[in-house]
Amino acid sequence: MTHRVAVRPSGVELEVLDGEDVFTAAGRLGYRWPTVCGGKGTCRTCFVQVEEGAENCSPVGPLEREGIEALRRPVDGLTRLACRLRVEGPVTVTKRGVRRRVQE
Amino acid sequence: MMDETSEPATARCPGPSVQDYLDQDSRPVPPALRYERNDYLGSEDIDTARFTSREWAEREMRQVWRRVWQFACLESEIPEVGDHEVYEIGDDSLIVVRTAPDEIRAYVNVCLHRGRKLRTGGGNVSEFRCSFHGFTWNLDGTMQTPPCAWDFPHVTPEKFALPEAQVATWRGFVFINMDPYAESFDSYRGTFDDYYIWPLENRYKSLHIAKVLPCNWKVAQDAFIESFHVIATHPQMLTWLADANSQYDVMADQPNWNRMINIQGAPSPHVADSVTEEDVLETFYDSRSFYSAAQGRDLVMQEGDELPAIPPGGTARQVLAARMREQLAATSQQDFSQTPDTELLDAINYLLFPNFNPWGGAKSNIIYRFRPNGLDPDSCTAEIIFMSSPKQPGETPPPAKIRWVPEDTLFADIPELGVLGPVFDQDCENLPYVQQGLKAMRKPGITLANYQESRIRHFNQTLDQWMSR
Repeated sequence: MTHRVAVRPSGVELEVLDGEDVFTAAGRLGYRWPTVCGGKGTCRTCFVQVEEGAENCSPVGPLEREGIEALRRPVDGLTRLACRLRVEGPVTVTKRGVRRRVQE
Repeated sequence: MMDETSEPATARCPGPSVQDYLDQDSRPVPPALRYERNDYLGSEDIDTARFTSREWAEREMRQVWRRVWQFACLESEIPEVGDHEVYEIGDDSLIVVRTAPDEIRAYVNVCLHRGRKLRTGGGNVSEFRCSFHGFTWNLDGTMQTPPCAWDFPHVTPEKFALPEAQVATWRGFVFINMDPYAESFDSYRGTFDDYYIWPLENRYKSLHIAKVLPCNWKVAQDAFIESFHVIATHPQMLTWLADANSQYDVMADQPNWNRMINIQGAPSPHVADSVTEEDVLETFYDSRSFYSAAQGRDLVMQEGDELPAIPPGGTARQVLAARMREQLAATSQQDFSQTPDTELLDAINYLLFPNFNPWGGAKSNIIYRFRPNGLDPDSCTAEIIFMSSPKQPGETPPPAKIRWVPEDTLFADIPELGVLGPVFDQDCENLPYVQQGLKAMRKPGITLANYQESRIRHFNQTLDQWMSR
């Protein structure tokens, strides 16, 4: 079972697996997603704005909450860390800098 | 030095001693509780500067807190790899983290780049990343390649491992020591384990209350390691609490622990000649009737129940112990048929220097922890922890989270504390007035009872040894 996550403004569409976070899905599908820590939930660089489908998003855990608060965003489910965000239905997010990885 | 003018400190309260009560116990009493020893440690005054001086508080941090074993957190609070708690004392801050299923380490909680604290609270992480510039340490304390490594040719990961404190675990509790040359925790405890015989590791933290108190941490702790104050501070307890004949065990060759045993379900020697066994029974129940027994400490009577009868020739203490035996068995699915009365009724309180302050016995065990609030000599944090038996043997309920009580809120307003809440409030009522009074006294020291306040002397002598070492 996969769920479609649309990323604006690039128009990238990711098929995210059950239980998989959006950041990991992007890497698996060949996309580069802004990060420093590589998906450990500590650098907060991968954050997204949820535009549609917030009801399909996993709950915010303690480490992600800490990150969102450090970003000075409300913890209202609309700012999320991609490396902690799992989905159960279609979701649309805004994240600049999501690009297909250049083949070496 | 011995004070030549004082009596040898063998005088004891007239009337039955703790060991006399234990002779009458309905079950065999463990040897740990039959032990009795009180080495005379002098009768000199204790200077007040230790309680009031900022300079003293700062020196105490360097001389004592940075060198002694101290209770940091519970193992059950950090069950998974990456789980951590922040332990702070004075200006020091440590991350106590589970680094492997069977390994706990404690790191200095500060980024070695510009000095920002790495963590401001507990949680679970897979690495420690500084929120200032992103310097990052692995759980094993090694530094990752710094951000903009080109700008730090002088910084090598080998030189930038996080400094560590020593860690030891004991019956489910995590202790730390910031001195790399400190003696082992096993050696530090001396004979403590032979006398603290209750399996705290089989219990879970069912309650954790904390409050900032406006007094020095030693003023607070000293108020909880003697029963002498019951006569004036808790007069409502005199009918059922044998205060002046409590037992105090202090050993000159065991500087890091001491103990008291305080008989309950028997009258104070101050009022014993006017109190009947029925009075003891009724007031014992009365004092507990307002609160629930949810935490497994207080004896409760159901609505409409009659007071149990005392058989001819029997004592309130026997009846109360039998009732407590039944109540505990009903709430914990354990067998208390062989548990002696003393472990069901009495206040058996230990102090492991400087501030691990556990009660013994079969009921939920209270743990007190008093410690400085930063470097302020005039305030401290007081914590009350309950370690309870799970409802079913083998269950491990999650540990209760710490709950901070605002300064204007009473412990009596925390129903889970049961009878302890209002009693604790009575104790705390004294403390700010002691802190203020010590500065107004115009006498350079406080004066202690030879026996009933011998734990205070023992504790302060151990403190003095660290201060001058």
